[in-house]
Amino acid sequence: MPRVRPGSAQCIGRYPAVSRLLLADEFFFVAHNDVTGKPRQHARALGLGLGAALLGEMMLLRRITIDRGSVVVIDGHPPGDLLGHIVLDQLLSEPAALDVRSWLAYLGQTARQRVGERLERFGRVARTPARRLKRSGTHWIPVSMSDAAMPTALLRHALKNEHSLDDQTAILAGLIDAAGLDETVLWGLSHRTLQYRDWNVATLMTPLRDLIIETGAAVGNTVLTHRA
Amino acid sequence: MTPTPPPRASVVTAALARDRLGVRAVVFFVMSGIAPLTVVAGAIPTAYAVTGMASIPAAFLVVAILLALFSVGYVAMARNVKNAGAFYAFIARGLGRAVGVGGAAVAVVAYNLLQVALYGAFGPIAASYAADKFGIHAQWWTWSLGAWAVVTVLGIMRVEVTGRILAVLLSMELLVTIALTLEGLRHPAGHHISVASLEPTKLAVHGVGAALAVAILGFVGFEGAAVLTEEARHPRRTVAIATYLSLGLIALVYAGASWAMAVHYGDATVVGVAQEQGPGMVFALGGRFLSSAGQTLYITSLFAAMLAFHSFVGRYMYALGREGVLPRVLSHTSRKGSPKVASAMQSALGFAVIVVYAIEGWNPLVNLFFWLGTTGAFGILLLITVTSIAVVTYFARHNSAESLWHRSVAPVITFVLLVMVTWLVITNYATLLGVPPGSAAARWLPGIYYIAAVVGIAWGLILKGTKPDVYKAIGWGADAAVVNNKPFAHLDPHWASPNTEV
Repeated sequence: MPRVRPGSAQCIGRYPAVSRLLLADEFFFVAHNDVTGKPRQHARALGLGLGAALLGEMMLLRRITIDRGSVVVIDGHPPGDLLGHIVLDQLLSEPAALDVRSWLAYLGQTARQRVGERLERFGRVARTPARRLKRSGTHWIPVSMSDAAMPTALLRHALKNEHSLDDQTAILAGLIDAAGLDETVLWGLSHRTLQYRDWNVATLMTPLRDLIIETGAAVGNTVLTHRA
Repeated sequence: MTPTPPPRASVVTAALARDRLGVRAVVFFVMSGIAPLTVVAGAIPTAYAVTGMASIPAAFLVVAILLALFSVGYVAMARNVKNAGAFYAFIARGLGRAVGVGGAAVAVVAYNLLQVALYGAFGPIAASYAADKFGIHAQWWTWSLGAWAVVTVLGIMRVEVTGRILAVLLSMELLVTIALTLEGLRHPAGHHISVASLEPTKLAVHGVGAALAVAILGFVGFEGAAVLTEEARHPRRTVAIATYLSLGLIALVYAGASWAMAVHYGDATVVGVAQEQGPGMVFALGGRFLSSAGQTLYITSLFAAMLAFHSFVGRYMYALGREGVLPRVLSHTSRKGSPKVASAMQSALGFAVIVVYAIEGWNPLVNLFFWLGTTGAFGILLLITVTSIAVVTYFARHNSAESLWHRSVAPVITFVLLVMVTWLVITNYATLLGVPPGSAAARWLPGIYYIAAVVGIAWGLILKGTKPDVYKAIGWGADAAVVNNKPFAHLDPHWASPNTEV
C-alpha cells in the first residue's frame, strides 16, 4: 500500500499541507487534554507511549530498527531535532543492543518532561507548576487549543472517512490503542472504523508494528504488576 | 598484549534498576494481600469450632514447610518464564494450554470464593462492633453490603489504597497479633504451657484434612510474589527470598497465635470456647486496650483482604481478556489503570452472594466465610498441586540454569505430598464443613472444581480448533499480542488503494 511521506505536501484528508508535528509531539497532544493540559492516562502508560513515540521518530527517520525484539541503530547520523539527537546518542552509547521493553521503560521515565520541553521550545505549550501537590510536577498547558486538538481531529477524520494513512499517522493510531487511550480519544467511532485502524497498524512494516505491540504489552503489564 | 578496556556501563540498566523492587517491598506486597488478622481472628477460631480439632497450630507448621518446598520449583520456573504471573500460566507452559485454561477456570472460581467469603466475616464483626461501641443495631448483611459498596467504588476507581497506609495497617496488625499471642501464653490454662497442639504427630487423626485446609487458607496470597518477578531488583534472588520470608513470617504468626489460644484456653476446652465465642476468643486474650485495638484492626484487615482479593480477581480476568480466552471487554481499563469491567463483574457476583445468603438466612460466619473460604483454599491447593508437576514437565522440556533440586527433586516431592494432602482434604471435607458425612455440601463444594476444570479444558480445546491465535497466546497475559502475531483479515478491498481525495 503506497504510503505518504511525513512532512510532504500531500497530507491526509482535505486539509492543506501544514508543517507536521513530530510523532512524539502529536502523541503528547493526543494524550493530554487540549484545554487544561491534564494527562488522559496514568503516568506510567503515558511515559511508555511517549517513549515509544520517540523510538518511532527515530524509526521513521531510518536511524534505528527493531530486530528480534532488540533496538538496533542502523544509521548514527544525528537527526535535526535536538531531542532526537539526545535519544540517538543514548542509543549509540549503550554497550549492547537492549530489548524494546527496556528502552520503553527507560525513555518512559523522562519522556513526558522532555517532550513537554521540546513543545515549549517551539512555543506550543506553556509550563506551569502544578497547583496541588501532584506527583507529576509540571503541567504543560497548550498555547493554542485548536492546535493541540488538531492531531486527534485529523486522525478521527481520516479514520472515519477511511483515508489512506501515512506511516506516522498509522503509528500514532496504534500507540493510542497501546497506551489505553482508545476510549478517551477514539470514542464514538464505529466498530468498522476501529477495525480500519487495526488494519492500518497491522500492515505497517514489521519493526514499526513490533514497536506498537511491545508498547501495548508493556502498558498491559503495568496493570498486572500493580504498578499502574 | 594490550589489556582490553573495561566494558562500558549500561546507563539504561542502571536507571531501570533504581526503579526495581527490593525484598522488603515484595514482602510487604505479599503480606498486605494476606491480611494476617483476618485469619487469626476469623479463620482460626472458626476452624477450632467447626472442625473440633485442637491441632490447628501443627497444621500451620506442616503447611508452611510444604509450601516452602513448593516455592523452590515455583520460583525457579518464574525466573525462567517471561511474564508468567499466575498459576494457570505455569500450568499452560508445563502441561499444555488446554489444561492451562482448566487451571484458569479453577483459579477464577477459587479466588472469587475467597473474596466473597470475606463479606461473611465482615458482617457479623461489624454488627457486634457497632452494637457495642455505638449502639447501632443492624443485620450482618447491612454491614456486608456497606463494605461491598466501598470495595466496588474503590475497585472502579483506583484499587490500591496507597502502599504506605497498607504498610502501616499491616505493621499494626502484626504488632497486635504478637501482643495477643504473648498475652495468651502468659496466662496458660492450668499454669502449664502445653506444646501438644504444635506436635505434627497429633495431626494423624481422622479429620486432619480439615485442619490442613484451614492452614492453606491462611497462606493464600503467598504466590503473589512471583507476579513481581519482572519488577524485582535481583531476578534470581529477590522473589525467592521474599517468598520464603513471607512464608516464615506467616507461619510464625499463625502457629503462634493459634497455639496461644490452645495454651490459654486449654487443649481440651479450646474447641468449646471457640464454639461459644468465635472471634471474640482472640480479643479476650488481651486487656481492654489490646482487645479494642484488635477488633478495630480486624475490621480494617478484612477490608484490606477484600480489596486485595477483589483486585486479584480483576487482574486475573483482565489477563484472560487480553489473551482472548475470556471476552476482550474484560481487558478494558480505567484511566487509573484498573481493570474496570472485570472489577464490575466481580462486584456483581459479590452482591448476588450476599443477597442470597441474606434471603436464605444462612449463617454468615460459618456458611459464607468458613465454607466458601476453605473451599476457595481447596481450589488453591488443587492449583498448587498441578503447578508442581507442571514445573517438572516444563524443565524436562526446556534447558535452564537451574539445579536438579530446583527443577526436579523438590517439585516431585512436593507433588507427591500435595496429592496426599488433596486426598486427605477431600475425604475429610465433611469434617471441614462441620456437617454429617456424605452431606450434599461436602460433595458439591469440592465438586465445583471438577466442573470448572472440565469446562476450562473443554473451552481450551475448542479454542485450539476455532481460534488458534488465541490458543497460542494462552498463559501470556498482557504479552498475548506479542506471541500470537495474528494476521489481520483484509475486510475491504478499498483499503488497499490510496484515497483520491487528497
